[in-house]
Amino acid sequence: MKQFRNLASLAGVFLCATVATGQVMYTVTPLKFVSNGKYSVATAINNQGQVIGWASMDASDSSRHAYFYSGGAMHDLGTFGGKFSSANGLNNNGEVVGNAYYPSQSVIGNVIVYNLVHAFYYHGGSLIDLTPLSDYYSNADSINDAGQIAGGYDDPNGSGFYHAFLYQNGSLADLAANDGTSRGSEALKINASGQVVGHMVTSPAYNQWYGFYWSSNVLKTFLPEPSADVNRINGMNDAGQVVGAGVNQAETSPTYPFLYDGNSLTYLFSTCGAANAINNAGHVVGWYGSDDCWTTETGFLFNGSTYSYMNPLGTSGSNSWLQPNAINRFDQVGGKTTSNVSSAYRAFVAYNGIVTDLNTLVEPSLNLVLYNVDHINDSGLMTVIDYYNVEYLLTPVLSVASSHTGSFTPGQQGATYSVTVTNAATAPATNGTITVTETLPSGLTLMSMAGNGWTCPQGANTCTRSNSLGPGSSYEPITVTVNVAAGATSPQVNWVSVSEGNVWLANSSDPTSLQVSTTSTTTAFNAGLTYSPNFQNVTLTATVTSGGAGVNGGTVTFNVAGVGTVMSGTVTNGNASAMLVVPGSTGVRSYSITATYGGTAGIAGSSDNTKALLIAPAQPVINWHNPPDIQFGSALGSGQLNALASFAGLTVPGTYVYDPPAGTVVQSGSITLKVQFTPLDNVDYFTANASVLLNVVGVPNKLPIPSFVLTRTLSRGYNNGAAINCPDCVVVTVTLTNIGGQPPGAGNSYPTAGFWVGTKMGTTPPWIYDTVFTTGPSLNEGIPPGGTAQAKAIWLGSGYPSGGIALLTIWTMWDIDVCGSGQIIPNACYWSDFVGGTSRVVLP
Amino acid sequence: MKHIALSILATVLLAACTARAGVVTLVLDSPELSGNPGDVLAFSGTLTNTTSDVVWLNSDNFNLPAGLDPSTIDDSPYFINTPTGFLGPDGTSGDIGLFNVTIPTSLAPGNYDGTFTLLGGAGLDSQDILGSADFTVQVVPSSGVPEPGTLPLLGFGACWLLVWGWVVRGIGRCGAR
Repeated sequence: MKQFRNLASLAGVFLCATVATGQVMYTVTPLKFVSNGKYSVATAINNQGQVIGWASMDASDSSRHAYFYSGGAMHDLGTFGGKFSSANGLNNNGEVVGNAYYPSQSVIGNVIVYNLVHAFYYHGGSLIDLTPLSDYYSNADSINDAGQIAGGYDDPNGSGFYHAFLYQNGSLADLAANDGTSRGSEALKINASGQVVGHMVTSPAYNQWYGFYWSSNVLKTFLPEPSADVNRINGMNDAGQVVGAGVNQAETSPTYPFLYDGNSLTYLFSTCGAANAINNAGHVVGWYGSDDCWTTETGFLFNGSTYSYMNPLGTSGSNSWLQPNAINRFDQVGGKTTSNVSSAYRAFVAYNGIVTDLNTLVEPSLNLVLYNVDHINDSGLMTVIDYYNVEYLLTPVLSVASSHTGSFTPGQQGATYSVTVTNAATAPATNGTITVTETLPSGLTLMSMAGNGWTCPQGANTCTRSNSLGPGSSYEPITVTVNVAAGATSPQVNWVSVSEGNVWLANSSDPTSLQVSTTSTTTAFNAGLTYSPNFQNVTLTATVTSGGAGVNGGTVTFNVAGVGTVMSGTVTNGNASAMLVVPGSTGVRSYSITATYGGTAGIAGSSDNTKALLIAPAQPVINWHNPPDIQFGSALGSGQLNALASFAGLTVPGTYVYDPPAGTVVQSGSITLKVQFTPLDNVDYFTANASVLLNVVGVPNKLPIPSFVLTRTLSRGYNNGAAINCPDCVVVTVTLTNIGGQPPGAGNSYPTAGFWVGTKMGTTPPWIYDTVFTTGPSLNEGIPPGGTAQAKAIWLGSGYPSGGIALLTIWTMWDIDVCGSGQIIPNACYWSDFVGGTSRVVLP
Repeated sequence: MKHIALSILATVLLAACTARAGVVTLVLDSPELSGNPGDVLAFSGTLTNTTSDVVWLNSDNFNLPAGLDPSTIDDSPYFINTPTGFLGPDGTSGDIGLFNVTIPTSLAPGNYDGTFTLLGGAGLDSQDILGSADFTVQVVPSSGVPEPGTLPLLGFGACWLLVWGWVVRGIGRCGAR
């Protein structure tokens, strides 16, 4: 049906093509390689005014090459050796993608391939084959400013199906590889966020088409198509909103204009039509038809909440049709419309619902029949195809430019732009009201607009004047005064536009850098410090950046709370450093460093960063050397235990705990002496440990043995409450006192003792030897020097009269485990001897 | 009770230390006597009361060196030669026999040091240290060497003596461990 209507339009052109006259507002540049080139098509225009597409290489259209129009010239992008190529996608960096033919017969690997077409990436002045090893078809459709490329290729891995791909960082990823149902897909558009939209077939019968939406590695399908009709995806903005024309399940109309946001699909009209373009503000342009989907087609602009409409300029036969095809950031709309001038479509430009036939705005002597606006960029440049399928670039003759001096700063009051309107040298003098419109970014507030000859209503963002502007001339500039918001970020882009009469013509941007007054200051220091009683130097460093770049000029002041303040020299390439002298005995803890940048011309100071200077405790050094050899038996003393802790050449007060301690008689041989030093200032100093070796030589003939005294007291009567109750028994209480020295050898036990069974008792005279102590508690206890052990011995029996004199002999054997810290007696651990004697006692 | 006992003991020790400073001067005629294994060495000396009070001679006390055990000591001469059991003020015992040491036949040659201590004081129950003297038993090799077969017997005898005593007291020890 659509094709039929186009044919009807073409017929109308032939029958009654006429050109209206009017004010020339656009210059026209044919996008052709040669003047007689038969055809050309523009597929994209960017905001730099660069255009891509393809064009015939000659009058007979024997071959077509992709072109890149830039800098006022057509650049032939060539092919891979074949006759044809086409540029399909263009980003704002002037990078181009498309497809190009190889020679009619090529050898890829060891395969002969005919008319091979491969996707290309035009970068650095040459074509790069994105699928160089494939002997199948591939095509690149879209590229974003990050250089990500979307397209499709015949899967070389044997699936036999055409798959959507995403090419980035030098490698190609198959977006449909993991979709087992996919029988064919192609990525059509990719936005600044790397989101991809395209279409795919999922049914084996190839009649179930879907749109697919790929975002953050998640692929969704939408817009199912119940029959063989093909849905069309016409545009996607940087917010990921997709527009196009799709059928619904009822198939009550060929297509409906739709808007898909990645989650839900909305049909904008219930009658036939198409959504053809969307800008980054989410404003959609398209058309909708009458109920019969034939008689009328009305253009619409949907801004997300409300609709405005564009009506055809006239009728063609019984039909009245208008189809918007492109929209830019200012809602300038271009497309085609029927008119009363001819039965053919007429290219139009519209703003705010006012539709103007573009054929009336170009030089009439060119005899052009401008048929349709294909693209319009944010500056107002358009690519327009004519009735003969030749594409033209239309450039407004009036230009507007904004300029400013230097950089602005957040919070600045009264910053100014200078806005100038200029007429092209080849253009006629203007003939209508000229209006300049300011569109400020959110970080700027308009305060006033003023200029000689201009009428600038207070509070409005426009200035107007009506006097004619001759070719090659400029009006007096308009001074635009703005205030910069305190929190504004850099850059702020000021847009100015100019219109003549009702025709919105041209726009221009003026990116404005803000010298962010809040600089970022970062401090760091070379290392943490260790406490010292002496002064120390530490280098403090800081980086100062503004707007991400290192600052030059100004100084940084470092303040270390409780330590001191120093100022650095000139900040160079964002770096500043200063030497801080830390006084001696500055205590251990974390000190807060504040780095304050004093600012320089155009850059405010800041003190937005705080770091810590950590002074860690110092580790004292133990000065202790191996002492001279000592003789065995000598107690440890100051001659050996003489460690000294110091730091930085100064003695550190504290306590020393030696192991073994002073007074210890250590065994012979090589002995390790240890010391643990605990500083009096246990905050600024760590504890310290050290050890030395001491040689203990020689073994004395007589060991420093314990010496004992046995004393006895006698009493009568014994009752242990159990087996023995002997009122007449004589009880001897024996006390063993160690009056001798320390057993040699650190860690050795004290001597223990027990009764010697040779105890005997007698009277004087005569001696009585008939008595033996038969029982008694053991004295088996360690007896330290000066210590005692006591026990009782019971002289069982009777017949020992009170007052009688007897001789009582008691012996005890003591022994010592002298192997506690090493053997000191050759071949023996226990050292034992006897102590005892006789007492002349009076029986109680 | 235990504290009281310790206090008494401390008093005794303090007194002992005082007496040792010179209550009785004990002078051995020959602090070092030599002999062969099996010989009996008779130590003699003079006791002198250095105070103007009566000093009761109630006990003696030996610290024996290793190798000498109670069976080698005979202190009966001391008691026999001090029949009154006391020394008068500034009195002296005269040169009297004090104790005999029988050198064990198995004792190796060498010097064996011991201490002889006198205890007593102001009363019959006093156990203060009055005085002491070191003595040395010097064992010199005998001209004859014991038959090899007798050595185990000698060792057995000494060991039996120790075992008997300690086992009865519940502490079985014999020889080096």
